[in-house]
Amino acid sequence: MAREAAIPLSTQEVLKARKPLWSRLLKLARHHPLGTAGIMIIIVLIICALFAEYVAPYDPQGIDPHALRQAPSLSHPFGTDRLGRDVLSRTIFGARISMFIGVVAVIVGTLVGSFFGLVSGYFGKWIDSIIQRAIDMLLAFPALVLLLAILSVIGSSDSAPRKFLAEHTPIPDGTFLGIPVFLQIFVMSLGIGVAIAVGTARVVRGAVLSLKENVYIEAARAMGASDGRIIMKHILPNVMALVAALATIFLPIAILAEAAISFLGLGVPNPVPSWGSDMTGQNQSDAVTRNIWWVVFFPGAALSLTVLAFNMIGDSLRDISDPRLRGGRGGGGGPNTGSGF
Amino acid sequence: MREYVVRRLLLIPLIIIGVSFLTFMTFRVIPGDTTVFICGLGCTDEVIHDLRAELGLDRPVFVQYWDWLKGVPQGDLGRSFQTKLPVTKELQTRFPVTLELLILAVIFSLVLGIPPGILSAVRPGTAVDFVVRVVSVFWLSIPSFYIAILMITFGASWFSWSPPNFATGEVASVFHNPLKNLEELVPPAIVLGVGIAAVIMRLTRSSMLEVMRNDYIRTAYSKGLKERAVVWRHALKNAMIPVATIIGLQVGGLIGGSVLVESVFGLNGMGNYLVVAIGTRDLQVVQALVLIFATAFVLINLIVDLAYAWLDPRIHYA
Amino acid sequence: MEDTNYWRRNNRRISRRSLLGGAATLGLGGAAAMIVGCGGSSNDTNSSTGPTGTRAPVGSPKAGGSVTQGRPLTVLGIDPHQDLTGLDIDQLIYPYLYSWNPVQNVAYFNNLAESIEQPDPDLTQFIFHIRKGVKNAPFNFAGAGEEMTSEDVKASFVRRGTSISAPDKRFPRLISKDPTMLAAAFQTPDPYTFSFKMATTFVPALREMANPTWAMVSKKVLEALGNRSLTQVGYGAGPYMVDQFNGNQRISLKKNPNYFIPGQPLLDEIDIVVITENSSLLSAFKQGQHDICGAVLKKDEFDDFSANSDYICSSAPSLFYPCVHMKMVPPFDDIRVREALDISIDRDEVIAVIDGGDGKYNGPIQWPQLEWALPQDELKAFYKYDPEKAKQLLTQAGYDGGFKTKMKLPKITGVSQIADEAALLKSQWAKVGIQVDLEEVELGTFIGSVLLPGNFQMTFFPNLPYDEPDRPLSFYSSLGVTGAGNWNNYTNPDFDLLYNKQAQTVDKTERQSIILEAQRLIIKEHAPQLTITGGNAYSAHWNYVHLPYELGQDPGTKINPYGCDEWTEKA
Repeated sequence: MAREAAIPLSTQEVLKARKPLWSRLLKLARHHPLGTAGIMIIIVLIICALFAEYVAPYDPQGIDPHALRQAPSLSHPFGTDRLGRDVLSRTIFGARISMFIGVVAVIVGTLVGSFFGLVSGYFGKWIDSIIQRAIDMLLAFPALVLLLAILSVIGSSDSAPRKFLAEHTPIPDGTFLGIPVFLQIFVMSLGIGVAIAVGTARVVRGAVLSLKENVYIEAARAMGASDGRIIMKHILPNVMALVAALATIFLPIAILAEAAISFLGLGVPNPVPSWGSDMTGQNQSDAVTRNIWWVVFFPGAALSLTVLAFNMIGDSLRDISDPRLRGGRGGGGGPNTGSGF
Repeated sequence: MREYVVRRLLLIPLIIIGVSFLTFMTFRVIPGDTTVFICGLGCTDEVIHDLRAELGLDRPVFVQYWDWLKGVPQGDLGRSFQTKLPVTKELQTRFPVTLELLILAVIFSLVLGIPPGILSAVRPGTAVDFVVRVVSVFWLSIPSFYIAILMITFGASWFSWSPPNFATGEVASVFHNPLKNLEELVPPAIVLGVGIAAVIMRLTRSSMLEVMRNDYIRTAYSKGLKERAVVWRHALKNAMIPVATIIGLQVGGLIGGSVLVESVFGLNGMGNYLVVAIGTRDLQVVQALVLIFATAFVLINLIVDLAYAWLDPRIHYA
Repeated sequence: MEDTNYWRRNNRRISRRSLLGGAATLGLGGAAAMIVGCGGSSNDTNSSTGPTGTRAPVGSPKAGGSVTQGRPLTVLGIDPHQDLTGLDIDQLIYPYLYSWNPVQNVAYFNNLAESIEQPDPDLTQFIFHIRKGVKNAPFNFAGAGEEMTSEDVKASFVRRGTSISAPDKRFPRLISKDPTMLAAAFQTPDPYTFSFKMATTFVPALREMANPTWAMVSKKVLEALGNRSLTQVGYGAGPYMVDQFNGNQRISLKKNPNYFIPGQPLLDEIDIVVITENSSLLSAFKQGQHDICGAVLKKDEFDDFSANSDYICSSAPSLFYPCVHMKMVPPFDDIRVREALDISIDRDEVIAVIDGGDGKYNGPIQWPQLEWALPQDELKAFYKYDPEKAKQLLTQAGYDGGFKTKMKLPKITGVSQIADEAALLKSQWAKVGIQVDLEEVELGTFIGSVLLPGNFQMTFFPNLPYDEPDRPLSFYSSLGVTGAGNWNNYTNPDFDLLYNKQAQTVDKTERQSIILEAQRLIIKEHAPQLTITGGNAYSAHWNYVHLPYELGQDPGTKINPYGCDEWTEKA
């Protein structure tokens, strides 16, 4: 995951113009067609994720013994796999799994990371030292390796954390929110969330450190405000924008991470539709040895398109914040910088 | 500068010990009893008890950690639960594969990334620039394992090409059979390098743009120097400083990517081994590999930091 | 796992061919074997059906050369008494008392024992006459080059008989109830005679001792090893010796110059290359880098190879049989629920989708064991697909409109059949209202945390294949295959009675009728291990490699031990 967030940019400069909102948005869209396209793609994706049951033409796990390994056609636009399952429907349902894991991982990761970052940056001293050394340790792992390590420890059904969740929390084990094996998928998102939290904590701490130097914080303290009040009133609101920006950077990374570990056979289990796991195993083998390319092509294309959309949005945001450097300014390069997927 | 280097070097064993403690504890404490994975169906409480004693798992966990840690400097990373071979022996053939793959990938990413980046910066706003930008956004967005799958799938059906399949179970040695070795490693290295190339391309472009805007470049032009000389002699070196850093930052990503790419290409490297070990719950191996990857990553980051100072004399670490 | 067994069986009978068949099935079998933890010896192929592939051109065998074969499963170890994933390799390294022909169901004495005597009519006593001049290979360890004697056989029997990882401990317990007294139960009156007597008749014993786990290892080797195991080393008197062993990459074997049969084995070298990705295995074979295909072949791939005269292909019915296990707790303790589950499986659809259209119904004993399995017609009538009746049964049982449950299955990388078949069952059951959530669990966790502790409501996994009817039936007995209880908590005293009786019935016809009766008893109960269908195993190798017999062929009783008669035209 990104070690340090290149933080985008407020769009306020651009929005300053005092025209009606819609006309300002329209202008923005006209000037940044790529970003607009990216947003459209994400909207389609969200619709697919939320309303997969209505969008998908078939049951993603429905087996049709009369339509095994069919090439794309009118009745199956993306073809069918070795069990006659409709690839289009699986790809659409895959969006739900991807978005769910991405969103949960990002929420958990940024919340947990912000908490530690805030505590570490605000209180300093030994708390800061402990948290920062722990983060140093975690940052010493390449991201995917860290993730695989986390999952190899908590991914199995008899790991202590997983057992705890199953026995002491109401998180359902079976299908929930239209997601099969909910607990397993939830645990996966937590794993990805931990990896995200590490990066978030570092960045938030930095921001808190510089905020703390502000005169108005000094003033508040001098007036006898409690730590809690200072954090809630003065620090948190200022960090929020940063955390929101981080979340948008981490979302595609989390989606990629899910796909990558599922692709390695360590993530979303068979036969749950997932872009990553649909590209691996027997599907991959079918693609290579029997030229059944569609079973891997479409899930991968959906994944790439999603990441592309986020990258296009990111690029446009950068343009807006710094129009001098069209096409991307350094550091970040894009959401998957350093993610290695 | 020297003081800084010494301090960084001293910090490294500390980080590595911390990392090893973290990995050891996580893998020993959380996932439950590893012995059931070893003895299979024949296992009863009695067997498990004996096996735990045999493996020393019945001792206090700190004693176990100390025993394990003592072995690490001597190159003893424990034995695989699965094959019962020492992990270091398993790594003998795998380590060079991953190392070579990573080196080749970095070379490809530089070759594919820097020239287009420069071209695009020197001719901003032209068709070349546009193509470079679009291509880089695409490359950046397509996951390496997807590129690998497409390469193999369509390679087979369109060009009757298929990746070398390591039918002998190992990659040819770069010293004994360099041609075969390259034939086997170049395709995965290209796949791995493409994503990084996109990042480098974008960074080269923006960093060149910035540098070209400097007064000294304008001065160089006004002296009547040819563009080539300006670019090569004056602009490039400074523009490469951030590029050098980003390569260092990408190493973590490269290691992760190598796990995926080795898995698709069936390369018997460390990354693939990690995946296999996780799948078979050979936690002893996972622990060792994670430690190696983390250590390598820490060391490489140090080297990059130092290289950064060397490239840019203005930077002093205090 | 299963394949391992299967392959093992093959080995025996198929010998080198089995290499091939073995390798092919290994994927499936190996996985199964790991699950059940057992090493069966089984050749899964069965018997009575001949090979469907083309016959190898007959040439005159030529010595020398090497053969490379692929293997989809990692070899975790080659200690024949302890490890279950390398049984095919153990057979090449160690001698066995005798070999087993799974087609004719007879033993033949081409190996360490020259003959057997069973003087008692109840077949409880075994007297083996050991061959003279069977010498250990010139390995670098104690006992190298020395002759095998009855003391070595005894030491091997003790080691195998007390091995904790052996899944089936019933046979050694009949020799000595107390495992620590096992050594005293064997007699070695002279260096070439070995004998023992069982407490009661156990008909499967003869089959059992030909199982690859009953390898004969020199006593000196075992003494020098002490507590260590043979898992990474091979010190045997078999046709080959270990040259290089790395169980997840490559295993190289070279000819044993001391082998007791003059001029054997024919090959100088056998290389076994482990590639866990099926498509890579397939392409390595197609490109000629492997002489024997290690990939698990599907029907259509097999048909492609069969059409090409460069390859020699064969197929044989597979004993690999994943089945649905249920715990005898609500709702599954209600026979109506079990019946509803059973008859709402559309087995014809399973054959069409999973077995490539080429399969048959399986009863408790898999169909390839033709002498012991229930007739197909009977099974087809009994297992008639009837979703309407299933719905009625559910209603009667108080589950109007069905119920929800979870089925766990082992995740076996590279073998998609288990997951695919489970997905198909899920969709079939959904049609009668039974909503099944599938949960894939990694193999290690599956064995340790699901199967052994009985931590499941429903699970779907392959029982170990075996070509002796006793083994598949044992899964239904109160004591189970391990002798420690079956994991379904299913008990049927009537069945147990029949089950014990068949093992003690020497007369074959009588045993057959008992076994058929026992099967009818449990299928009527819809006992909580629902068997489904069985397909075929396919094998292919390049035509310049010659095996003494192809997958599915009757090897006869005249051939040399496994691995000997294989030869290649290539230098």
